[in-house]
Amino acid sequence: MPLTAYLIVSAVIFTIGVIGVLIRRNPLIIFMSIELMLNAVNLSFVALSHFLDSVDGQMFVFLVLTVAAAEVVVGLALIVSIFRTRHNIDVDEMNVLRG
Amino acid sequence: MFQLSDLYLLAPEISLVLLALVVMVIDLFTKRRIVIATVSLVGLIVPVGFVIAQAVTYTGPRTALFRMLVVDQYSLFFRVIFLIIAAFMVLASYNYLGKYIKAEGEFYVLMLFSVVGMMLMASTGELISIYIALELTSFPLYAMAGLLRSSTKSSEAALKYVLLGAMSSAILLYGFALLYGLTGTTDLQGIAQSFKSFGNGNLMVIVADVLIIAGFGFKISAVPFHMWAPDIYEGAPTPATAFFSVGSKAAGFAALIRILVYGGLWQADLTPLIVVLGVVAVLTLILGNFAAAVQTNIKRMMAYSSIAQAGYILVGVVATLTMSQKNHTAASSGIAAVLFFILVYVVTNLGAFSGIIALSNLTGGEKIEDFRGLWHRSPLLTVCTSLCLLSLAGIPPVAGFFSKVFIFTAAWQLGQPWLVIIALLCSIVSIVYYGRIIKVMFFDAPRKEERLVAPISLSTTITLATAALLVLTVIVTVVLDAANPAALSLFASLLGK
Repeated sequence: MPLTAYLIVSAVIFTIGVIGVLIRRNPLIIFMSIELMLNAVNLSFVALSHFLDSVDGQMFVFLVLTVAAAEVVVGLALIVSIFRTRHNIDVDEMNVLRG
Repeated sequence: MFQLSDLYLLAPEISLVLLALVVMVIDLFTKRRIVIATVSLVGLIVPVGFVIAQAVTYTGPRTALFRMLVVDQYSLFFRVIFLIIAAFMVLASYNYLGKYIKAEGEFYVLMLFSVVGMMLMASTGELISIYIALELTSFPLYAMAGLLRSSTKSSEAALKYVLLGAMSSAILLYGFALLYGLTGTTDLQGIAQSFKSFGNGNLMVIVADVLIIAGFGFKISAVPFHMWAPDIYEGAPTPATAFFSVGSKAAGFAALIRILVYGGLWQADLTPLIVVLGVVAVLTLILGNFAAAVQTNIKRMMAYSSIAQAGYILVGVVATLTMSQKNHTAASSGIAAVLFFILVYVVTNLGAFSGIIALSNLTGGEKIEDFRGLWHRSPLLTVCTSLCLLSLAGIPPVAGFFSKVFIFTAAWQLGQPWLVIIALLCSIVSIVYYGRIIKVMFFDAPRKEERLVAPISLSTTITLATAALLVLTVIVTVVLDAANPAALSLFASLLGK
């Protein structure tokens, strides 16, 4: 398969992720969408790394995966702490602060 | 190649990590706030000492750890700025922590780790380590925003911060992926070398530029990526807000300028890059200043004011890029002005925020009208806060005036007169809203008559910040002498080859 195919798939997945972040209201789903964006990036890194014959891109993917896991940990901890105080995590209901 | 001497170049960061770990362990054994704060403050002497030693014995830019670490005048300048932030934050947060947050140790540890990330963001020359440093900066900030666990506002702010921060780093990463695909390397000098051969009109270069600017746009809270700032500034504990407003922004600019200038992105498709950044700068200036003028909550006003300040810095960056292909020495004057502006902004904003922390602690309110007549109740605090606000507004003779003048003259000389005119008009608007607070504090009738006595740590912080501001006003030329070579060192790697 040509490189372009990988990059197009990656761009499509990334766009789906961005749309998900913008239109979904549940923080858990938003996290999944962000995960989708990160994995789209990983896909292009791996594809580019293979076609450029350079290992840097694959190194980047390992680190992105690790950091993404840590990011979710922080996020889930906050969701738990919000759920304890108000038993509802819908971001539309979070209107104590106006945007 | 790895050599033992490389560790010396990384010593400020290593010693800061060790300090954070020591503070964490001490927090396990004693819960006394004074011990933890003293250890943090005294421990900061070690990284400061290393940075001073490196600056004094400086002989030229050095790279280490496979060119991931770059120690040049630029990174030394920013390391100093971040250590100043750390020291001020320890002092400024001391009382607030005791009153509202029952997690002093955690606050200091998170703050120190975040400062390590900021220092690394300024001193890495490689995309992977920039990303790691960026996340090392951000994660502690997310946690700090949510430290007021009983307050729904605080955890809401923290969650919004995590979601938007994660999304922005994903966007930034996509830009990095395109950059890697275009050049085949993650090393900024390698990227700069291969950008030399790129012509104009390469769509992928433009997309990568836009994605990188968008990714950093969140960190520096530039319009249209600023939506998070007012909410998070209002919800987070006030010392954390002060930290976001200076640390996150300075670090974001450090890395953005490093990538754009040191990474040589200006060598290809300069016009679209300037247009995109210029539009972002104008929007940031206009929206930041006008929205700040209509706020009633002082923390929200400071949020919009810090958005507006990012606009002035962007004007300097755009000006540098305009001239970058023609004359490196002239172009670096824009970055020098930016460095000076960031230093003054950091000191001033920390001063203004410590004033606000103190005054709102004492009056128990965060509305601007709560500050009525404070001149009669706490003269020292009011005068210091007013000086900081005047400096933010850019009124002579305070340092903030010089920093704006430098940015505007640099931008004018480098060929961006329209940006300067817009920025000037916007800073006239800014006098209105900074002036309104000063007017409320000095001329309105106080609500109560009794005197307010600020806790010693806060009055020390704000006095120190104001003193630093006045000293900066006097030693403008000395700082510029340090900023000019720092700015030029970004171009040095390209000129050398």
